[in-house]
Amino acid sequence: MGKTRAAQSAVALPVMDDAAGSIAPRHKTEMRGAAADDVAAENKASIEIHIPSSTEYVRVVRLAVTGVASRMPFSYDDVEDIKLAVSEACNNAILHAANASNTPAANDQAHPDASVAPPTVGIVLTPWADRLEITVADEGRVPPPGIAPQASNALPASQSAVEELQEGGMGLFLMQALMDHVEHHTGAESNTLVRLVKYVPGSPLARASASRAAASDASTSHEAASHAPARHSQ
Amino acid sequence: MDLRLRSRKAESATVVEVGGEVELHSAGQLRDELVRAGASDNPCVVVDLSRVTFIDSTGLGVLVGALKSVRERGALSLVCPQRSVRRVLEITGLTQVFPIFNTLEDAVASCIKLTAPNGAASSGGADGAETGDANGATGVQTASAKSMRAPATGMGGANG
Repeated sequence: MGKTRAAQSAVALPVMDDAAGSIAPRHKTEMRGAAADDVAAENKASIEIHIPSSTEYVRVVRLAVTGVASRMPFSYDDVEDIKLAVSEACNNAILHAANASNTPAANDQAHPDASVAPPTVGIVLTPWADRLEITVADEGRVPPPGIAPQASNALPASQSAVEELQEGGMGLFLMQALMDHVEHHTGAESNTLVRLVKYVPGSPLARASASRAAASDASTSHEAASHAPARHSQ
Repeated sequence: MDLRLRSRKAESATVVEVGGEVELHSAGQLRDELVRAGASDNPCVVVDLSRVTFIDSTGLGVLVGALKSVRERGALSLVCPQRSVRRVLEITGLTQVFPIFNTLEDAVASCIKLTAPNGAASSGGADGAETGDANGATGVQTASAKSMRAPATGMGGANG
């Protein structure tokens, strides 16, 4: 079971920057603007969760996310959206770590020491007055094959009709459709970090985000359609 | 909540009742159950998602995979009355691909319609389908191919 800790952050953003910093430097003023900086001081805590990089723990993350989002002024649908988007991000992180451990290079480096720590996925939930920010990072150290993460619980990667659906693409599509902002970063050691943002209803940036989505509706929906499973079913 | 699965026969359909969370961790179980259901004699598979509390893209992928494999000789429909799962189906465009019903009764009734000889819809259709196997099977293929193709072609417009 992953450990859960709630970090009281007297200094703004320490946990989130810590999680993001090792992989991708964050530009704090980007995207938030002056109005959002005003509410930055209202952040009281980040919740950080580390789960083993195994599919059975994604539900633990969902429980935590539901708990945090439900205490914010989100609608029921918003909370459901956030749950699903975070689950997709966790799935991708777990599968990414599993794939990394299955590459030929990784197998060549088969480590005789079975005590090497298995990979984990780190999730940081940061509630702000106007938004919930979530980062999901695979903290993948490439493990020796003997203790590879439980990709066996995932669907087999080949000879499956399901595979043709490009599930990863559908997960990414869902994240983008459900959240106001999605960022992907890949680090030097091929670790990945996904940052998800959902604005609370009525916040200035939530409206801006909504109008942006409306303005680019044509291109967005076209891109979305290319990921949508329905296209592949033909 | 763990994934719960139960399959049973209802009229001319195999009903797969799904409960709990359909996610990456459990989607393989659902896929196995749907493969079994699709391999049964009944040409129709009804997946009852009424008690599903959560479904992710992997779960959706399994449903589409089952649809693809079943529709060559039958049909697959979903029972999905609750809003949360329905929303995910709408966002991904899958409401255009699956026949979706609010009640199990409606889904089973549509199977009866599909399997009835000569496409005749009646409450006695199930009996006819069971006794008149050859006719029933032909009717199913035609009807299902038609019902699958029609929404799919309309989907490009819906998404664009």
